Amino acid sequence: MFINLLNPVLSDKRTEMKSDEEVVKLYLETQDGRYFDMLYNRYSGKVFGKCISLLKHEEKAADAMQDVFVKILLNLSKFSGKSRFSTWIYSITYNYCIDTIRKKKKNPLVSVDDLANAHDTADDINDSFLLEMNIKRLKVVLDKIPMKDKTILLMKYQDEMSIKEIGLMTDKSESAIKMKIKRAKQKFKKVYKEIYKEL
Amino acid sequence: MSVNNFKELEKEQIEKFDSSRKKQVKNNIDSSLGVFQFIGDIFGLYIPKVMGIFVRMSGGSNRSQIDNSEKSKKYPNQ
Repeated sequence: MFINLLNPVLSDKRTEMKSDEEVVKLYLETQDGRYFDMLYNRYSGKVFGKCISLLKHEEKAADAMQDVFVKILLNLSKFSGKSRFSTWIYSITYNYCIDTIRKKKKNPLVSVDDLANAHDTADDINDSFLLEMNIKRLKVVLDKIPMKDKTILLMKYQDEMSIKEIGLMTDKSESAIKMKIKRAKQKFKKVYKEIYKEL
Repeated sequence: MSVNNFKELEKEQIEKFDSSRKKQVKNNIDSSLGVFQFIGDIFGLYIPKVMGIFVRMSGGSNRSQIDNSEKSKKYPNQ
């Protein structure tokens, strides 16, 4: 403590190395805005990336990101530590963006289950098909598939969340999540085929 | 190392988030929080007084007045 007072830079460097969960704890104990700034610096880019990926509009993404961070700050004391902090932040972001899109569209989104029932018998799709796809094509297909399918694929492959973590965040069982991922991949493949006439 | 173009796509999207936008959004967040804090302060300041008025109107007495009168009885020289 004494060293920290003498050398605030050293103190800052030490804090920089702290895990997200430790920074959250420090923020809740001290209410010092610098800890929140630290979390903002760590996650603002990623949250913005997700917002722009889902909302497809830079200004709207910036507005959504602002609301997401206010929400995060106001609910920080509710973060229980059951999941990683990043997982918690991303789930708030996804939910916010999905709600925003839902509010805009008068027709509710078609449920993943409804969409997938038609092609439930398709073969399993190899992960490498998705992971090694050309980025431009990946972006095009992701923008064409339903929002819920896109979200679950981003959670799995971009955020590298485990099935358990996704289940925890969406309040679904692990087997339900596995099924949702399978169906999202099938939907992805179907849309890819329609656009590029390949496979 | 295995290829993950989902990550590459994420990098592309993050690059669109320049430092000026980062600052602007941060300022907006701070001002939003300032408003919340202000409202919270107003409530913190006036709600106890309003409650006190209600208590007095309903025939009760203010706790702090009772405390003070009890104190003066206990410590008359203070």
